[in-house]
Amino acid sequence: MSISRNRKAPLRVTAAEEATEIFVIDSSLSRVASGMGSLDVKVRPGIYKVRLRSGASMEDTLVEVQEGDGATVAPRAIAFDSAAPLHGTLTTHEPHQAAWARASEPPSLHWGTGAGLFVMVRDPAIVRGKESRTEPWAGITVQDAEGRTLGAMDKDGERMQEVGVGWLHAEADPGMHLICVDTGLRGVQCMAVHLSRGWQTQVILATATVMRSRVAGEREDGPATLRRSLRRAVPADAAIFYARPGGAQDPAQAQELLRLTELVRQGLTQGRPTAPLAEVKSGRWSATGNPMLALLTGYVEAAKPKPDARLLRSLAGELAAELPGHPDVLALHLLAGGSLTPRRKGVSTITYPAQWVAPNPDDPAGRPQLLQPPMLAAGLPALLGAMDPAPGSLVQRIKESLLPGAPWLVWRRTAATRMRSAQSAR
Amino acid sequence: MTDYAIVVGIDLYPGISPLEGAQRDADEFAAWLTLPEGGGVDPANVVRLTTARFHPPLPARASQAQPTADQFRDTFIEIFTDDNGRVRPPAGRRLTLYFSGHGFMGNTTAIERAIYSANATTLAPDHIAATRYANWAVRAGLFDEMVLICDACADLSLTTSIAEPILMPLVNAARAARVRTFYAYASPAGAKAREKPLGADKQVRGIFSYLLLEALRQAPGADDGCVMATHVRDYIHNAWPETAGADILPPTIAVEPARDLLMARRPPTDKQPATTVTITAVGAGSAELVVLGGNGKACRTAALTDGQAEVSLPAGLYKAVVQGTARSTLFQAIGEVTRVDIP
Repeated sequence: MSISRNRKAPLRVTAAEEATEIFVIDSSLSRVASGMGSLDVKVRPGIYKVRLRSGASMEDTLVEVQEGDGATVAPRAIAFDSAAPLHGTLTTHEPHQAAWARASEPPSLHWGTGAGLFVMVRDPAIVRGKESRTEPWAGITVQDAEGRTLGAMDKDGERMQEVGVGWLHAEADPGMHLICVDTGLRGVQCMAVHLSRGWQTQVILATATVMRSRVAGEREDGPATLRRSLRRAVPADAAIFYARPGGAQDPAQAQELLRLTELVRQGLTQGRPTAPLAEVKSGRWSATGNPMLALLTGYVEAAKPKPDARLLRSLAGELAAELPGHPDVLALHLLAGGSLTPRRKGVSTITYPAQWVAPNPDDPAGRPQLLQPPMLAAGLPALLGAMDPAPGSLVQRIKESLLPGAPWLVWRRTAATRMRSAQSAR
Repeated sequence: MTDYAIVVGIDLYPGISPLEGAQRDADEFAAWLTLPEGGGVDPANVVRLTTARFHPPLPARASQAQPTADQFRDTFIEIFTDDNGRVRPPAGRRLTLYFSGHGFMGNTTAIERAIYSANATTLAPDHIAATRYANWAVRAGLFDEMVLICDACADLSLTTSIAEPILMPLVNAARAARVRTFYAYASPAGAKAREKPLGADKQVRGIFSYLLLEALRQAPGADDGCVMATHVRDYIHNAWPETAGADILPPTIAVEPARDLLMARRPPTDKQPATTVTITAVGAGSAELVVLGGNGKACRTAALTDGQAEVSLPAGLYKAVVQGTARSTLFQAIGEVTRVDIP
């Protein structure tokens, strides 16, 4: 009954999604191979564990590789955690999907024209069978680039109280907006979102427990230690997508691409190479229809020790047409070896809008100044490699208050990071 | 050459929120460290900075809770200095720094962790710059090996900036280049470390610390009985989903395979501690059970009693077969006990 272990046999693994990581572990529990999306390796006949990882979720399958035929593993898609109630995720919830579908309806708020913003917040605890006793919309505001509050989720938003979901749906001017969440003891956390003409930016937030405490209290039978928890939206874990306002897309294909976008975002957070590069190179999807997936893929590629500069240039070029003036597109352009000004033949240049990049009259070298931050944390060092933070600008003020561990650029608002105009407003 | 360790475990955080298992994790790790068949460190060289060492009595104010960052720094310095405060290089073979408590990661590009000291509050988030202390010792070349273990969160937190330890730079580049390191963080960037009831007594323990200790005791080592850091890392990653849950991010463990560290040495006759595997084949009566190893060869046989048998196996992957039938299943033996059902 023993297996001949002299001849290697094929082990083929095809994950349901290209952003799923694959690990092959031998019977002594050592990793022998790894890949993304699919893997085709030759191994000695024997027992192996195939581990798939999507986001933070893992699934193990034990497989016996036979001499000659080998083995094939083709598991189903893995449910992973996401702030967005995507199909097949751990906390998907039909009422939350219904709330998200409101994004395709006409906006109820009008802060400007040319771009759309849909901010949704939900409490995933309700999906896990826990009553939603918190108010997920508490403390969430949308502000313009000057720090003026455009809308507060609890006052201006809509909600389905019983299922713990709320949203703000607005037409707005293209450009930077801030989404801020007052988390109580952990301060006000803010993130920049850049709205682009012709696109609706969808920001899906989920709540999490930000603080647990035990306090002395009273129960019917006398003094007792009571557990308290504070749940608030977490900007660092937000799912952000670009969609065509009111656009109709095949729902199944849309969900597949949104799942992919989320997996790439989570991979970027963990420093894992989850970009669907084979799909990009095969042309199965393009930056034209999926700008956020393209942005995240570009950043994952740029984080590699030897990034594919041609791929980065291609993504930055396509994105520049879709999201003109987007700071993350400029950051990708710079990471691909491009420059801000024509320096030498063959180096591509890119135009940038005056609202977030300004010339520096005091710098004889013509090095411009950066006024507004990008959306993604990895973009800031790329931009600051080519520009200086403008004195007094938001970029300069938030530099020391950035929160780690998030793909998005999130900072804690302090007296120093608060907008000057907001400070003087009465 | 001597080994040293500082073991920090903080449950009492009056200014933040309490933990239940950090003290226990620290005590259990310190106990393993001092076992001759474990870490083999002289008990006199293991300093515990744990809640129980200082409390009760409970502090009147949050700012009076201990251990503090200053107490850690003083302990750290005492390990490699003489009575006059002069550094004595090389100070020892290995320095182990173990932390269990509330923690966070810094907002620099470096992968680093810090642990809140017991007196931390939302206003004054005092902390111990765990990774920076370890890196300082590495750069100074004071030890041949540096083991850093942090069972703490790495998510967004009270503060974002890790305060630099107040230590004069001490650099010995030649020795630093030869230092072998094992840095293990319970949670990757942006994630929480968790604790829950674990073990036979169902006491609250940090999931990472629990699996780390299980790996140190159970991980199959090399043929010569040496359990290296890479074996420990592989064991933890393999056991993680079953212990932590399949949707909890696994720990971040950094060790260079080419510069591996010996974590434990097992006697040659007992180099692979066993997992007790209970195998059930309903309806199989008293048929014979055969367990095949990863190489396809039979490694255990047992007679089923009322369709059940118990075998003892080193951690690994196996196939259980009911002799004379087509019934079989693949399984992983890991931890102290594994249960397997043959369909």
